[in-house]
Amino acid sequence: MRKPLTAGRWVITIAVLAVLCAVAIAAAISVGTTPVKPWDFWSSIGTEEHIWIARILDYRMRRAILAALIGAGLATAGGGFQAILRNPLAEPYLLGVMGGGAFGAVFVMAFDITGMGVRPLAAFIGSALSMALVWIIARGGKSGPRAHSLILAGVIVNAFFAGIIMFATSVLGTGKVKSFLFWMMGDLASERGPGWLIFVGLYVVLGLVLILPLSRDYNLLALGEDSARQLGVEVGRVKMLTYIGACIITAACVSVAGLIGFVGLIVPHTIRLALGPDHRLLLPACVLGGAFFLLVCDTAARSLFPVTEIPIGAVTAFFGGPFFLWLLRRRGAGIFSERS
Amino acid sequence: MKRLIQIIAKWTFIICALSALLTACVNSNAAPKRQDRTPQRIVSLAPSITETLFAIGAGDRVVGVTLYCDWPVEVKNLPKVGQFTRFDIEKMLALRPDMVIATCDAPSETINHELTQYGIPALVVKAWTVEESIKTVREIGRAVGAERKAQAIAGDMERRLRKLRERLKDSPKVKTVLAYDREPLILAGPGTFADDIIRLAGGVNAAADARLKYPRYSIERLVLRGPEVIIEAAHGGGYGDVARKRAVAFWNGWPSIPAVKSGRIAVVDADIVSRPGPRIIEGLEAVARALHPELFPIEETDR
Repeated sequence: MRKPLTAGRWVITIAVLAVLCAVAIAAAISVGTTPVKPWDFWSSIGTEEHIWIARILDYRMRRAILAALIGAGLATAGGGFQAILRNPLAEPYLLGVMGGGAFGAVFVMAFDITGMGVRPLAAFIGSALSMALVWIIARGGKSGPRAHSLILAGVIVNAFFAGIIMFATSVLGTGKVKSFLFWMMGDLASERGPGWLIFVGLYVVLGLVLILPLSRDYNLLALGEDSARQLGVEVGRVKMLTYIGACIITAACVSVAGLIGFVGLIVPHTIRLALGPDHRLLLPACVLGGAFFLLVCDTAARSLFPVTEIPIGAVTAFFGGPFFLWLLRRRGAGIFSERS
Repeated sequence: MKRLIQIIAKWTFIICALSALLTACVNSNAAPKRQDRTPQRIVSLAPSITETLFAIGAGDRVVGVTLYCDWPVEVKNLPKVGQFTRFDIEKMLALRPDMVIATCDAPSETINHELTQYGIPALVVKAWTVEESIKTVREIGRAVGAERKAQAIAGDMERRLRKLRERLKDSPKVKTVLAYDREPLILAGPGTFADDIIRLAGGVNAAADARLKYPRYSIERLVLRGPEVIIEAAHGGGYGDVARKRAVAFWNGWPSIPAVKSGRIAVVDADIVSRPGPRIIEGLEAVARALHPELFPIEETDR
């Protein structure tokens, strides 16, 4: 139904997406709740305002980098999960991350363990452990766990932790719960130290390094596990590497930014609808597309309503949802049928 | 397969350790700057702090407040930098503050950490009781270089508190609840600021059996607890006669509550009983008056 992927088409698509990302970064640095513009940095040199303009730009830049990293990571992790689980509903939070990460965050909140970086670390450990738990529960034979077992185990682990979280939020004081709820809705505003940027950056890059080279295997896996195995794909290994890659990305993202829904689900699907299902293009496009999408959403979240920042999760769903439905209607749902 | 897992586990561990180290290093670089002169551009992150700053004569140095800061009236024209738990860092930076004061209810960790990174000194105050709010007035006074005025105000607050205690010394404890909302019924639970006020005003919080600080209390349970006085904290200035009539009309649906039977339902301005600032003593006196009207002849003012 689509022209096969050529090197030319690959380069052009990626270049266009990269330019879009660059534009989004420029926009993110230029827009905010104050009228400061990037070029004020140079025009204000020598004045008293200079340092403050630099600080504001520094703030916007950090957020932009964080948004780009997390968008790229979550979208690629989602794409990877969709490939190994062969389920259109697969997304990074499906496999226990949500529950585990939130549990970690609630745990430190409940016991009043505070300090720099305690919540992100707790969330990171929580989500990493719960994902390991899901893998162990669902583990299968040589070809790795079956997709259905993984999804079911993930959903149940999430539900179990959700129970604990609901209990904790109903018992704990309102002030604490409020800040926790913001975290649950996705929060790019709390952890932005340069250390955290490096932290997230490292994990996202590591995850991408694990996932991206598997594109060919994903293409074969789309034909079904048995066919893929006959064609020489080590199904178990592919699943394992993808799982580890996607998990470290997701855990790192959750730890600093809470649960930013929708990115990991919608970006891979949108790109698949727009560019076709070939993972060699799909996955790199997810990296750039995810970064672009979250950059735009975060810029909107922090500048649309001054003083009251909107949770970014609300923005991603509000803008992403209708756009995706429109695309789905236009392209038809047929594109998914070949994968089920 | 096994080797692969080992290799991946090893690398993940190494990278974990490295990134943790990096995080620690990079973040420890941002040391807070010492404040050596009195702050001239202050941002207040809570209504009580704003009220305190204006009361101690530092109001003209306040450059930014929260959306909820509404007292004194001049505050309304000041730039707003956030709500209670969320702050617009960019707006805050644009105000070029040299001192930010927050309560520990605000996500102080974030604020503190964020501001120290930019070299802006932040003061985080804790005031969960009336005594602590008096202490806070002094603390803020010291921080902004308005010590003398702060001392005078705190002293006055202490004097009025002492006087009130003296007056209530021999009076019986009145079973009281303080309601923030009627539907659903939200009461001040144990350990809250209002709980402390009820205690100091010569009452005992009938909702102290709640597990939460601000519980959704069932009215049936309230009937069982049988409070002798119901105090409603009304927001947004709605504490006149109309508000009281509305409150009485609502509570008349439960005539078996002693407070309803005897008509002891009072409506007070929520801002003076819930903000740990200099006006808290007024709130405390208003509650005491509602609890022990016999001790407060109508004409008398406490000034």
